[in-house]
Amino acid sequence: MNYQEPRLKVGATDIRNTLAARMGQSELKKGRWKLDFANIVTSNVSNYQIIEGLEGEPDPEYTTETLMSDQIKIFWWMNIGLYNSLFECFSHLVHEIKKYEDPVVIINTTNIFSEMDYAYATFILQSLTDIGVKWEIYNHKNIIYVNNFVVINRFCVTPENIQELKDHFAKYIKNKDVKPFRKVYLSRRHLAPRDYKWIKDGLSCKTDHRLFDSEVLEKFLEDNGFEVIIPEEKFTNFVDQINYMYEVDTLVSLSSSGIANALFMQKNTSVIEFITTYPMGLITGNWSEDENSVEGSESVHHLYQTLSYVNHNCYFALPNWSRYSEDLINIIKENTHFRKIIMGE
Amino acid sequence: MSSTSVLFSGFKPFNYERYDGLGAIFITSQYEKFSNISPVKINNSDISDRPNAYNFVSDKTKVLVSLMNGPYHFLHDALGGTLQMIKNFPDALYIFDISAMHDFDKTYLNHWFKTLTKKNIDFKIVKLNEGDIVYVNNFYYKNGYNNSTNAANNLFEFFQDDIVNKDVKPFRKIYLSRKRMTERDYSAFLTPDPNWNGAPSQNHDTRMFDEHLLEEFLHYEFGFDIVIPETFETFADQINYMYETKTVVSMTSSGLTMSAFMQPGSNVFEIMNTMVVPLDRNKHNMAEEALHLFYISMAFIKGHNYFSIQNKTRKAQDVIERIKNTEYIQELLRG
Repeated sequence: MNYQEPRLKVGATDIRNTLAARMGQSELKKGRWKLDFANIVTSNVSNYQIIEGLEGEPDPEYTTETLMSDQIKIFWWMNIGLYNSLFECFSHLVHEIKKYEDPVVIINTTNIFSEMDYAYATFILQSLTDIGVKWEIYNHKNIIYVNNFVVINRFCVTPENIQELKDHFAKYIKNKDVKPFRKVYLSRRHLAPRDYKWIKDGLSCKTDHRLFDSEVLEKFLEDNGFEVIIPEEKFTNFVDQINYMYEVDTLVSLSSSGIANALFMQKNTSVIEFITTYPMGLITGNWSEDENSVEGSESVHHLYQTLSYVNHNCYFALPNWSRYSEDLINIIKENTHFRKIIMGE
Repeated sequence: MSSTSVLFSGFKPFNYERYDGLGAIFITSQYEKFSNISPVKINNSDISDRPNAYNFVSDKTKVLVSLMNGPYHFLHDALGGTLQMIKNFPDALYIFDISAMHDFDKTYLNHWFKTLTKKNIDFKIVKLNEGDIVYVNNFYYKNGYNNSTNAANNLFEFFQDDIVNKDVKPFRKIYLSRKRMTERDYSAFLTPDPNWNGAPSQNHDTRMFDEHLLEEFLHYEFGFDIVIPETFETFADQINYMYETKTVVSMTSSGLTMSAFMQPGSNVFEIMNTMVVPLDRNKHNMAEEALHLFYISMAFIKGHNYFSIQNKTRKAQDVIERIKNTEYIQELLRG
């Protein structure tokens, strides 16, 4: 697979791109192939290699397995986080399984290790079962000889992907006629501190706390009729979460993967994002323990504006520079339209 | 959908590369940009008196910039990074290639050179497409597009002297019209194919077929001034006008780059289109269709409030209906 990222400028989001789509197609591989699971870097599926080889060739270092059959095998990696899981990973699986008759999905779940991710990860697997798709979890680091298979390693998401995801989950909505009425704020107060002291000075912040005093903003929104929720705590199953989000008329959140829930909102509803930058610090792929030692970057992520575009939501963005509630509340109070939508005045 | 806008980066700020020593830049094709060069190390004795040679060998540090046409590319991509270089190297010689500039770029191009002169920045203008070699030593050159939305702040700061009344409270409500834009019909070489995941959804880049209806609606229902950016006599006038603007409404369009000159806390309302960009006119269906999410990043860095709704059908009536059916959008437009 010679897939490359679309050659886009910073700040652009690919919708349809002849080059990217052509390079990013998941291709059915026939004949005999050797999959080197032993050297997979599971956090980056594009790093794995397919090597043409002979069936059963012994490898002294690793256990080898053989999956030779007429059935189509789809290799797929689950990723961590709601946004990554649904949009960048599952959407492609949803697309691929429709292309083949009775495929089996071979799933690597080594990235799913927190309780937070279990809820949607379990539901995603259940949703495959519900449409009669067979799947197996395979987390071994072995060499596999395999034929008739597809490997999903795309990240680029198109409107078709998003629509297919919506269609896939549509059957779980219990009351399709409900008029959206909820005003909801997605809280991040349960998340562990994220201080990146190792990043060198020069960024506007070296922390990924999106709001230092979340209780202040949450009280303000609650006083204005918002339900403040932590999805991971509020819902015991993902079907309830989908149905709840289907009833949401106004979703407010800091920049956060929780806004991926907007996928389940109805058309013409509103998403309000308090835009917060993401600091990142990397040095040739290694994290450092030493303070002020790693070059960093700070970015605005455009994921949710794009989702809103595809999903036909009204999208509003307020700058969250200081990461203090008072500044956000002041912006809301000073603007007639925000007063209307958030405070109902 | 994993795109981001980098605001600050320790990796490669503003995409500038440093070249030490004496080098020759061979212009091998009809038009080569400074952003796409491979300097060759040479000795002084290699410098010849070719008639189409540019010679910039001197003791000064040089910065080579190919200016780009259209407001977005000119202001954001070309000037955004250049202004950062001017901050870092105010005494350098700036060499601007204007091969890509068109007549419609004159207003801001002339203003840029006048402002540089006022600020005593040393610069030279070249047309790479009319030369065949550049001799230059100890220089920086830009490698790729500007990757920082800090450009908005640099622009605002650099052109501050143009603002006549700094204390004015923004009051204007304006719609940026694209009626002066030339037709972008790609039907001769682009065929939308609904069955091909990569093909663009349309073979043109017309953002709205009946824009005049939206203009009339915004003007008569909400009191918006309809502004054609190309009709400003001077760039300074345009900067001042934007400085006085409280709410700008526009389709996805490079005119929104001018939101850099609005005062923090203003409102940017984008009616979002995808943009269709042909990649190779000789190859059937080689095109890219993308959402260009530049203006939300500019809004963030400027401290503006940002709003967007979709314009998928490219018909004014659909956008008008959406506004009519959404009370808080009306509130924004009334405000």
